Amino acid sequence: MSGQRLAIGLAVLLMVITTAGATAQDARLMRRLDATTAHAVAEIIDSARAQHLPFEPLIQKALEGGSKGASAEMIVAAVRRLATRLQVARNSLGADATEAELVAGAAALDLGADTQSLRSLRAQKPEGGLTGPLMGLAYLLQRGVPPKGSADIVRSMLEAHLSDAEFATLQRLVDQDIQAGAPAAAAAEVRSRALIQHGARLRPRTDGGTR
Amino acid sequence: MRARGERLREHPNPGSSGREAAPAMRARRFTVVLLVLSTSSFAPLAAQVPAGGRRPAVSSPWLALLTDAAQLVVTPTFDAFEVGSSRAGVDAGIQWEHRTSSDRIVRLGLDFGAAWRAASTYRRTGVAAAYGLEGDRAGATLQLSAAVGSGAGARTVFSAEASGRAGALRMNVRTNLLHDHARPDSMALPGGRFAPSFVTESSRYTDAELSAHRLLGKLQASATIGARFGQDHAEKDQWAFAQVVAPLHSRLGLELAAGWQPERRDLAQPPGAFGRVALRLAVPSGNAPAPAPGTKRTATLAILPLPSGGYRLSVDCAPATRAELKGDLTDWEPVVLRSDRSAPERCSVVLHAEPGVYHIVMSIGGGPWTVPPGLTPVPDGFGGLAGLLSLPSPVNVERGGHQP
Repeated sequence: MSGQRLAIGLAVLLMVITTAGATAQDARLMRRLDATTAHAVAEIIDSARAQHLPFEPLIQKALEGGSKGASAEMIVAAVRRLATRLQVARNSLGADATEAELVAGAAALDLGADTQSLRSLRAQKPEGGLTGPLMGLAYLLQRGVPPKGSADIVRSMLEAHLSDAEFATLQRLVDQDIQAGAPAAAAAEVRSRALIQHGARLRPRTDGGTR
Repeated sequence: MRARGERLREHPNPGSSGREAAPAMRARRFTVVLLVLSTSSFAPLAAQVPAGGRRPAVSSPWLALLTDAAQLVVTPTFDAFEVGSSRAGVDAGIQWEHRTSSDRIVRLGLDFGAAWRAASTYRRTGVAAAYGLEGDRAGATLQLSAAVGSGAGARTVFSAEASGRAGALRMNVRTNLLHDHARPDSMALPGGRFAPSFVTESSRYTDAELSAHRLLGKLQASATIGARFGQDHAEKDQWAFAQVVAPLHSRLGLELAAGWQPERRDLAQPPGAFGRVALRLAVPSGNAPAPAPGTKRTATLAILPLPSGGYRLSVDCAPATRAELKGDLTDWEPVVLRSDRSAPERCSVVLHAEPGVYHIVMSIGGGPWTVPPGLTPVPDGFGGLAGLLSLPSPVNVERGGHQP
């Protein structure tokens, strides 16, 4: 009997904490946006929560709009668009995808990735998660590497069991080549190939040297 | 009258045909040796690479650079001089460059060149090795090089060059030891007889150059002044010239230069006023393209996870002493990054946030809000951009890294 009371007490406490958190988040919206906009955003957030999507990125998108002086219509549209992207990312990356993976996946979708690419990455999900590879995918797309080429490069690097560090190295090297005038796609292709061949050597060590 | 530092050496008469042929043969032999050395130095590394596998870790940066990308740079030039003469030339260089994570840089280059002026021709083959430290704001490099030539220029050239860079200013000090071209002479023999012989002139001098570089849009502009020391008879021992390089294509640049230049017998270059038109063609090897010389490097936003929790974010903010950041991890409220005495050029702040992916923007020195350097810009949905920032979990940091 005392065990049941304890369980009920914990459940109530959990509900109070959760509600308090949500209220605090809503308070941020109320403080930074006009009431109508905040209400419209809150409806989108409630819908996202019902679908078990992370809602903090949606609140942040609304706050970003407020911070940048965007109109109410733009803020609501941007939040709705992000919710849709998160939903598509979750459908592609799986229900166990973390919030970081979903945000990075949504960014990649925004930059031109297709759902098939995300699904193929999910099939090769490494132990450390897909955040680094998805960040790499977003980077390549943003640099103008065609979607298929970008996805192929990321897949090849995942197949070679390269870590987030190698994806960061790829970004640094390709940036360097682009500054020197190399086309992004060619630079990404040859640099990723080099990393696959001897990525461990290029990876910076924590003591500042190289392997 | 002979210059200070010059020496005369006499040789037995090699015969007139031998005088012409011997340096050219030496040059060819030297070229073959360089190519054999270059090819053979790849062999042990290449043999260790399993098909489709990773290359083994290479501890020495000198060995590591041979597994890196090589770049072929070809530069045809045309110089016109005030006296109405001209010089056409082609320089080609194969260069390997390796930069470590601690900004150490090693470079190995093979150089080939040919120049035509009036009825004379000069060809040269050389090798150069450099080691240095190259940071975003300053750098220092020491380079040793050797070359052999044939025709109307120096026969052998050894040089040691120290260069330093601070911001947009560069200083080079280069000491050259030249064995110049042979010329006919005669040698007195006992009994009042004279036998034909030839002499080799040697000269040693030091060139010091100071140059200022600036990016004007896409143009790389520079102005250089220089002086020569240790060679009395130099016709031009001070010089100054300006140079502009305009990118025509991803791998092709047009160079224009004018001013006064020193005599460079190692390049068959006459002294005096000149104007130059040149093309620069850079061809990377199949491994990877290398950055062009003088490429501007941008300091990226650095993220350091702290043992106590939280992250230190820092960015190059000089000459400003503060920057501001706002984003998903600050509820889009600005937070200030400040420089301190230990690193006055970097502004930093410690933020406490969960590992994850965030959107941020930054303003440096009161400037506009922009995507921090090194972050991937993504559309913000409001007609602008935000930078995608990844804060690593401590586990991923221990595993070997993270990306911004």
